[in-house]
Amino acid sequence: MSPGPRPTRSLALWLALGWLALCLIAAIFADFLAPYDFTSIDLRSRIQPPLFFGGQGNHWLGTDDLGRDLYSRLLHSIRISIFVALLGTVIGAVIGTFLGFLAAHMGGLVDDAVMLLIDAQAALPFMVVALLLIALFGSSLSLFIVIVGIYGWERYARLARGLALSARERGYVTAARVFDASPFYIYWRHVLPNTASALIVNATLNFPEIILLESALSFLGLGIQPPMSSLGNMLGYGREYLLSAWWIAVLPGLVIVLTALAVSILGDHLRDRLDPDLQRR
Amino acid sequence: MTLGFIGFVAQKTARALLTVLFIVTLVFFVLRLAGDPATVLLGPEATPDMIEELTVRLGLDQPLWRQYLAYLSNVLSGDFGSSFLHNRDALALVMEHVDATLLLSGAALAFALLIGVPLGVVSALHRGSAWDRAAMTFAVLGYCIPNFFLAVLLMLLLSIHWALLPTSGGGSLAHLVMPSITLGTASAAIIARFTRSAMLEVLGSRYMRAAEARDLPTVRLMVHHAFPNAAIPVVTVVGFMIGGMIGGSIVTETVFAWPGVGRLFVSSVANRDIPVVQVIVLLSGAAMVVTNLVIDILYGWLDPRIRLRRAAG
Repeated sequence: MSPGPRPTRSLALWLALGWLALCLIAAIFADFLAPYDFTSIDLRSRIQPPLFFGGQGNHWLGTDDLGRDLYSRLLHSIRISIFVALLGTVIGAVIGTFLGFLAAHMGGLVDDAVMLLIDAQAALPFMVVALLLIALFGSSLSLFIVIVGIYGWERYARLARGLALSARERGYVTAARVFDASPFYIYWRHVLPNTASALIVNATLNFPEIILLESALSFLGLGIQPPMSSLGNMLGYGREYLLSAWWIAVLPGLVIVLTALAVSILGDHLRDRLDPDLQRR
Repeated sequence: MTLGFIGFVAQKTARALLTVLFIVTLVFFVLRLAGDPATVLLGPEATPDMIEELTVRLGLDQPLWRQYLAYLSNVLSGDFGSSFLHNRDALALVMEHVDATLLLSGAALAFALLIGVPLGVVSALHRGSAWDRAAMTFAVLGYCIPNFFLAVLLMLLLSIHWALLPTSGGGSLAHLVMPSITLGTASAAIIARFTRSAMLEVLGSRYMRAAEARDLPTVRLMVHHAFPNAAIPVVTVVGFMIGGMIGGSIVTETVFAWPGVGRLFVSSVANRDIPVVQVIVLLSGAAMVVTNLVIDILYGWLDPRIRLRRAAG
């Protein structure tokens, strides 16, 4: 997707990796790193700006209108957003890859059915599907994870189907078949490892999109619900206070942008490394 | 108009109709998965009598395949029930909001093309230069900034800090500026990338080198030889944007309180106004399928190789 020039790849890549490492640390050690509880209210220190913008040292990223410490809330939100996006990526990859392999292996009617599903999914903007499901089933965390999990399955399916079809013609599959290996064994031990790199590249494209989807839905008030907080949910909340406290909305927004940017830089790099077929001029 | 082309169009149209039918079917089943449709469609304030009446009217006491046929015929005749929030025909309600969405999407598309195409052309012509790098950095950033955050940033700068534009609402030209920038930026970024790579491909082609060898003036070279050939992939991207209009404008319309379909969608979802939600889902699916069909046919018309390949395969 990005036929861009090659700027100083290494610096950008290191910055991206550094940022992602920070986010991962934040997500894992959120409870340990947070100086306050992310829900603890302190009305005496409401709406404090961040340090360097007139704030004080005890809340270095400032506080919101209820005096909750934004640094602690950000750490917690990063944890939730990354957790949801990781889970969503894994679910989508598993469902999509499985259906793709199934279509390639069975052929005929199954193949047609899967292709029709793929077409229908591609025809409906995912945001529309997500909102339909939320309207029908209400917004709960488990439904929400199902929704972000479904996201993007059709791209894995299309990719996996194509890769499996071409892998079948390769020698290693024929060889395994001669030895009477079961189809499951062949797909698990031979086809999957040989197609993994393309699927991983697709996952790196998918991951930032899921973060954006999660944030957009939470921003609209239809995703992660309070008292839990995610990046999009913080941003949507902060929108109400733009006039008096811009930092409530801008801080989580910056984290979202940087994370999406970092993953797409990493994805570009992986695509060049892992997938020589997709390499561009 | 050859026989082959007519066959190509017929095949594509049949496929599109099948996809629409499939989407309608999917919605039918998802609606039933969510519980008793009569209860879901009538909303929380329905009395048992009303539920009973709708159950009979929708034929919910009938076997599933009958229900499905009844549903299809309702959809075909435009009967989607009425909004229980606004207490009026759901289809008519949605149609009233279509104009605003069309206006916003048109403005956003114009913005995207005005920014994206020149950026892509300039960076292709000066490949590797500082211009190129700056344009592609914009393209990456424009794609990575979620529209809701861009909206917040624009509001902070243009409405609150500089007090140039109204924060939300519709009705005047000033109201249109920030929503269309918000909605158009990601598209501008994508168009810039596609234009750049399409132009690079064209510029490296043999017919361009032949035209260059004839010493044609640069403007003529660009307008007559490069642009028409580079346009095909760009047209596709634009087509997808038009098809995805309703889905794409949901967030932007909500943030800026723009009175379009997207905002209606979010408020209907929040209030679980299922008849309206259903109309919007089917409408956006149909819009996407129709746009894809038009693109496919345009492709086949512009490039005979495509329809011949399909006919052969």
